[in-house]
Amino acid sequence: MKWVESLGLWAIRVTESIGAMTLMSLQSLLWLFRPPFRWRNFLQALEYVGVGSLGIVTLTGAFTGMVMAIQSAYAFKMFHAESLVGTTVALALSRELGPVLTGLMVTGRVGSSIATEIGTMNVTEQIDALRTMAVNPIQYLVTPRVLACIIMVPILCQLCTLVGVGGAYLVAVKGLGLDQGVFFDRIVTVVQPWDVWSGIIKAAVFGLVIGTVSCFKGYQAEGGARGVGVATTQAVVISSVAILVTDYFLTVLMF
Amino acid sequence: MLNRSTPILVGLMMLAGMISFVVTFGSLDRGIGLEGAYQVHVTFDDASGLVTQSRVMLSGIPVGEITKIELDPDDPSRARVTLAIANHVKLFEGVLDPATGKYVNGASATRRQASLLGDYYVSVTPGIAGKVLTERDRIKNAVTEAGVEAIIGQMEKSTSVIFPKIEQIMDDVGVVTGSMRQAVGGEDGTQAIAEIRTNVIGASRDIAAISGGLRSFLDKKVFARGDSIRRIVGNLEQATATFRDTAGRVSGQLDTLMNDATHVTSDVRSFVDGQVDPDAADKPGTLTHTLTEFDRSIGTLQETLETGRSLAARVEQGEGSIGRLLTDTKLIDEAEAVIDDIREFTAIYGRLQVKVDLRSEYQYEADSMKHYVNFGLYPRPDKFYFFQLVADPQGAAKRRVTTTTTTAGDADPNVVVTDETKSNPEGLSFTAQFGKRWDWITLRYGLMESTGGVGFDMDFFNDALSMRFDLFDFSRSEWPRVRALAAWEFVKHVYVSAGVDDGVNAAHRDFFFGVGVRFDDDDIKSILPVVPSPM
Repeated sequence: MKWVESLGLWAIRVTESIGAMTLMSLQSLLWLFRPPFRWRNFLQALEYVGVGSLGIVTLTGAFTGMVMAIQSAYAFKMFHAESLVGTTVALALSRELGPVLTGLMVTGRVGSSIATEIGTMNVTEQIDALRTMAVNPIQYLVTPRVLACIIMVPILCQLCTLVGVGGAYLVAVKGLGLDQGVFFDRIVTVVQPWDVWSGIIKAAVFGLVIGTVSCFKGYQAEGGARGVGVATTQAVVISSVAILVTDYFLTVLMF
Repeated sequence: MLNRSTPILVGLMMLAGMISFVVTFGSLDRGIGLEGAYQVHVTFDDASGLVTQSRVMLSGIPVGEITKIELDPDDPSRARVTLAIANHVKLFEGVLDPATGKYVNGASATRRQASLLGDYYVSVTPGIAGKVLTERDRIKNAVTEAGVEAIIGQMEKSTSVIFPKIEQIMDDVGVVTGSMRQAVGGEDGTQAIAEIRTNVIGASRDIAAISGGLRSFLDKKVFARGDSIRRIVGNLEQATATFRDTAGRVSGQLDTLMNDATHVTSDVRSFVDGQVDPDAADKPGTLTHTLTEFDRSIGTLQETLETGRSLAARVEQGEGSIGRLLTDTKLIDEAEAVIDDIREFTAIYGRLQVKVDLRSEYQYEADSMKHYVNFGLYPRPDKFYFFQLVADPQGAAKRRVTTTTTTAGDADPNVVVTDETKSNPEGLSFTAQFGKRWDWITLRYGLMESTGGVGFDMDFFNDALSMRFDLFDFSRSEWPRVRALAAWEFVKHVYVSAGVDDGVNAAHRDFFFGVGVRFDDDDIKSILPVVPSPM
């Protein structure tokens, strides 16, 4: 009967974590509207999340677009429908791959570092120091990071999609010699504004997930350097899984 | 601590994001706006493959989309498809032919297959006769045609023609084989065939004997003399063949040569004729004409140079709009008068700061200049009232006016629909906004170029670099007008600006760049004594 007990404990812990995370994200959003507004913290977070991740996200987008163009051109060639290569790449990138790949990349680059930073501050009692100075740590540390993720991930996602379509264009039109006019015409006739909007909404939700999970895991770190390492790993794993699961439900909801 | 480059990097990132949104949504095909369209119905026997928002094409050009597909309320066994057709496309009902009970020369709608993969669209033809279709009318002629299905149908039809023919042929073959069986069948037939066989065997034996004799004769009498005869005959054959080939080739080449010579002489003759002709100067392609044209070009070039010289002289004297801009002091005089007034005003309200900003912009697509005079009244450094006069030769606010004239009387009322675009003739528009600033972010709202609008500004490096975003003119049927502008004050008081206007609506998108000057209270006080006075 020991496994029943441990299973129950695990379920309780998971539920507890989800609840605590939700509370934390609500708190951080509430602190948005209460002064003092810490513009510098927010601006730094924007730079770290957005500008810092631009390179890796566009690189991911470009190569994803290129590979998709090669593979879909190969498949479509079998029944002479190469004109659909651009459409396929653009649709897949704007609906699914753009948001998900951007989310995963930002998780790896930004989520881990947020968790480490806050985790280290926690185990070295810097957060307690903030409290003694009457600074709310949620407002000082969490709010700017979560908000920066919510704002920057959609922008990164959009750039990723555009660069990906550019990569597909290079491979399909310049490399494989498909018709340039047909490539773009099919994209603009088939891809609807809602496809792009759905990707942007997804990306914003992923931003919220990354920011909240990373801050929460950092906040929970305890027991020195090892605890910080564990918190970082958990932040990346949970964010990635949460992105994939949320993506499925958002797709079901939106289409 | 905050890096010095952080605000600019974040600002650039935001700008890149906005541009990517504008590019994406600006280039996506939103189809035709349903505001600029009317709806007509068409009833198909089979509407499978059609979906709402499918394209409606006329001669291969999208002119509308499908808005609804349902069972026909009048005839529930058929599908009624509602099409939204752009207003500028006129469809005709056609004329009822009493003999057949059908409408002829009217609009028709066809369900077509766009590709082998099975996406469908509706193709319409406008027709030429009858009344013009309006909202909720019905296209009388509907053709259900499906790409692959149609081909299969045609194949079925043609096989039904071919099969009887094949059957007929088979019958004929049957008859022939029947008569053959009759001829060969029976004891007589068998005996006859046996006789034939015996004869054939005998004949072939004879032939063998004869050919054996012939061979021995040849061997002994002819080939005894050896290979020389064979060689001679062989050489002779070869020689004749060579001769035949050569003669054929030579005569062919001679023919070609003669033809060429004839052509050349006739060409030379006509060319010489053309040059001798006294009217040759007017005929293009002749030497004389070419020389005349060259002469004329030199003349035109001289004229152009003259015009350029006189234009430069006029600009120097202050004539024309460019000249005025360079030399006329009227604009600055007027500004001075206004500033005088403002100075009086500020004397009363001592703490009120005034900022004046004059800017001229060149709009690339419209190929025109746009001028701005801005006044900012600052009761507090973070709060201000902003007034702006815009002189835009393109017209400030464009409104479309639709006039419908109905001539009653006949059984067939005549409806005339006139569309025209009216623009503000003075081309002056007015902005009045209230603004509030937090650190490097400013929000504005109020009137923008005579329509309601909101604005968002970002200022960096002691306001030397500013980015402005205006969102206004919401009353249009398209997306609201979005204007993004970046300005850089590279010398004190003087700045350059560039940006994109109406970035979301691809049809009206324009890029602009310009130069401006701006002063605040203290600057105005120090500059007023040195500007030329009208007195």
